[in-house]
Amino acid sequence: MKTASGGFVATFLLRDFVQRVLTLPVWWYTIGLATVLKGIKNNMKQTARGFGLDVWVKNLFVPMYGETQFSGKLISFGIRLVMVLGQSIGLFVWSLLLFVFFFIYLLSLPASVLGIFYYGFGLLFF
Amino acid sequence: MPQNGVIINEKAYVLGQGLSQKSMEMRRAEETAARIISGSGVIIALLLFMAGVGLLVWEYGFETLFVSMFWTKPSFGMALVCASVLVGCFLFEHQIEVARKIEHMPKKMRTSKPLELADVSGIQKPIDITRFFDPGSIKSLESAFHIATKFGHGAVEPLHIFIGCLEEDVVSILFARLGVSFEKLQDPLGRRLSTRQLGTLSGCSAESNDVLMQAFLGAYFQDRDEVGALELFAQAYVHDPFIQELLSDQNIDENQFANMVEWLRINEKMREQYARFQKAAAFKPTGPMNRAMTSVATPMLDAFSEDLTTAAVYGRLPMLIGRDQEIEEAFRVIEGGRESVVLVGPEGVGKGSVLAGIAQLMVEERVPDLLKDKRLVRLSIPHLISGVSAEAAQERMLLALDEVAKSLNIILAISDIEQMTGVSTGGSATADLAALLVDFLSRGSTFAIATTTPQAYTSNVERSVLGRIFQKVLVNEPEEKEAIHVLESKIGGIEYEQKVIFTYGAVEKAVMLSDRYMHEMYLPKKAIVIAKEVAQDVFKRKGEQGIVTAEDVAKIVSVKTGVPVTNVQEDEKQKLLHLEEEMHGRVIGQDEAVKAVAAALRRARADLRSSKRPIASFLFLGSTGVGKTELAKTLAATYFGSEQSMVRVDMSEYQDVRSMDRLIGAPGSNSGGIFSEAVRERPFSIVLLDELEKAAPDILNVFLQILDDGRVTDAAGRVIDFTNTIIIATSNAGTQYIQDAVQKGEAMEDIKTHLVEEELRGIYRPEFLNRFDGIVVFKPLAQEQIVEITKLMIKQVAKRLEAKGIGFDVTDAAVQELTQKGYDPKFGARPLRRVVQEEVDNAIANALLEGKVKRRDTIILDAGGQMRIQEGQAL
Repeated sequence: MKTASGGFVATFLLRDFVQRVLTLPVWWYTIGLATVLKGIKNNMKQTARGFGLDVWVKNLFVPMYGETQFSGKLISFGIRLVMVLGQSIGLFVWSLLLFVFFFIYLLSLPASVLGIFYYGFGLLFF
Repeated sequence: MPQNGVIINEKAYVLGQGLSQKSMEMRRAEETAARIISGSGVIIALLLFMAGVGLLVWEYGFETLFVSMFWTKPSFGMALVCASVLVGCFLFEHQIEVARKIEHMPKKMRTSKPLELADVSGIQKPIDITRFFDPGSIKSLESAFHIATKFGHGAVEPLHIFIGCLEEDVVSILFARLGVSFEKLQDPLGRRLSTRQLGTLSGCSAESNDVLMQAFLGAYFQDRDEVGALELFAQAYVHDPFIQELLSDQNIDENQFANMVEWLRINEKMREQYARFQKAAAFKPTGPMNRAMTSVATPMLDAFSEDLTTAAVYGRLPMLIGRDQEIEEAFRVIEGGRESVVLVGPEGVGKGSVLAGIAQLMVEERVPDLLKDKRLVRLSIPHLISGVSAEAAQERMLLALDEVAKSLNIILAISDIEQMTGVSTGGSATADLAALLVDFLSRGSTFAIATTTPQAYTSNVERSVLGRIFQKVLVNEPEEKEAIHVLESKIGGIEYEQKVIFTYGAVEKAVMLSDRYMHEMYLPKKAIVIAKEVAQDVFKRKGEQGIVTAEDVAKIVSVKTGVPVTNVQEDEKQKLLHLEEEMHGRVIGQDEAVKAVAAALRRARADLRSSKRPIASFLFLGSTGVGKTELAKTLAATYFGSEQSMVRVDMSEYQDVRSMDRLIGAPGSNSGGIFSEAVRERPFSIVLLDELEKAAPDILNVFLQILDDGRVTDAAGRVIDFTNTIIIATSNAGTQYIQDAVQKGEAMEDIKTHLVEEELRGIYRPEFLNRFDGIVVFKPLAQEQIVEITKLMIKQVAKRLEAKGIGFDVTDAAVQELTQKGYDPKFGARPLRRVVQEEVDNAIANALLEGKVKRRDTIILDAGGQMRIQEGQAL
């Protein structure tokens, strides 16, 4: 395979580097934020599908194991309710984790810049 | 400025600024730059992070991590960690931006409208299609530019792209399967390159631009994620007549090339399909329980059934190729009125595969809502009824159906549903399980997808209660091309099992020959059966990695059908070329007839005949004893191996319509006739219809169809193939006229015309006579021909004596005498046989019995029936 010519590579390297550095603060809270939110949304969907929560909610009043007597229906409803609750809690915990991740994302850029200033330049002045 | 492109989903796809060497170099540079930034970014971030953490640990130790001073006091270590996070942020931006630049191939829309090139200059932000080209195709294009530059050509043409693609793996596979070696292409390609127009390379020619656009469209219609080198290669072939000619020289025509490209696409698609399927299968429950947990355990049903969805999850079912229409139709019926479906198609066309395909779609949940979160369970009727009385079978069925009703998540699949009607087991009682099923299904708790054959559908389903509840969906035998694609999809498995490698020629031949010569089975099954057998045979003969060629397939088909379909070998070639001489060894005179028969055989073996009719059909006319039957026998012996390779029918036995039963079987008997069975068993043979004029007109009508279509359907509904037979009918009609006309010295051509137009008019209908490839009039035998025949007969006697070690010779005078005695213009050579028998055979028999002749003696027959014995040498 032939190699790309060095001149072009250097030009693109410089262009991309400068472009990314300059646009980073704005990009972080626009395109970056949108991308992360979309990722979180997709992840939530996948997790919900994995738990099968929609199937359980949809069948909340449908008796389990074909038990159509009243007692069977009652027990089924109870079990389904517990399952739905349990799964909801699981999903909620996972959502919390995702929220924490989102929060970290929001803060990471300013925090890192501030951190460099505070910890690095602080050494010089304190 | 107008710009050509296509519009898909309101977006314009164009061929950018035109592909040039510079543009490709820039793209490569851009990609390299992006990779350098990513790589160095990761390294820098990691180094910063490790250095920072190292410094912190060295300075404070782990225990101070939770002391507030640690977080508030400025430190170089923390500054480094923060810097690593910042680089991480930068990297994140970079990666996302690089990913955002990657355009995704448009998803194929469900539209029947073909896409056409149009001016798209009015549409904002057109997308450059070369963005979708994968690394392999970009590399091929770079090679194409490199070749054009090297030869100083003015533009990159399809030829350059073709050569550029040759290094790609996928193209190597294509050539290997087609049995084409690159060495054979090198010289013509070199010569062709030297004829191209020279100049400064300006980019792609108009044809090449079209190659790129069509390659993109090809990938789009295949629903692929990228445009691969295969698409470029295929389009270069289509756009350059020289390349087509080049491959034609290697015996690769357009169809073969297209089918081979399709094979590689199918493999690729199956890989993608499998990956997607595996992902989806993770969510599908495999036990009796559905995801909603509404179903119940089904022990009775489980004992007599197989869960197809579970089998699909575990990858035990074959991947389905094609048949989208049939599945769609079945779904439409199910969705439309919750009705049950019966797939009707002959054995082996893939009804089971359609069921498997539905099971797979159910696993992926790409099905109508009614089928979601359900399992497809195949009820086995033989299991259900085996070993119990009719009542018990019904009870089992009721219990199983009860479980189906309760479980709410079962769709029934029933293979060969006709087995349900009129089942008699364990005694005299007959259990009609069909009635139970119909009753159950009509209550609407679930529905069934059944299969059956067209015959069984007509006799057992359509007119029974089942017909009321089942909607028919036809599953027809696939066309040759589709069957090739289906077989291509199975070859991977066969190759893996048998450790052999198939060429494309072998695949094509398996489909073509089985389609042509095995009429009792259907495509694609018969082709798959052949392919498996050939693979096994090749593994035994050639060992591991043995190459399966078209000739290997032909050999197996020849063995299975008795029809010679292999290439004509040298000795057979000689035999065919000298067939007349060989036949004249037994048939004296009758040049026209011998020539006609020999020419027909040569046409058949050179594959120049119509495959929809018998190899040849002749009507031999002439008086008795002129050699009509003898010629048929000679042909059977010289070419078909022995005189036994002849199905001989005395038409005098078919003088009334009732004898039709013997011809093709009695209606309702479910078995064929004597004649049709004989041809079914020996499809490659001579069919001799002796004394045709004696057959009833209705019997002749059957032959009218055989002569025209090369097939007839017997009483059992089987199609009997006559396309590999030579049909010879003999007739004595018009004998008197022939003898008179020959005596008058009329020309044979005139005699034949008069015969057909006048003499035979009352005996055969004109359309019947027209169906024969040739009507041959046998001349009455002349005196000199009778002499030759006498010599032939004497030769036969000598041959018989030779086995006993005794020689036999006849003087010329004796031959003349025998001829005189045996010649009768009315009866031809027939009295001669009698004379030879009486005068020669009898005398020899007496001599032998009297013990006058010993081994090594020679008997000499002289005129007047005198017999001398010349004593042989003593040992």
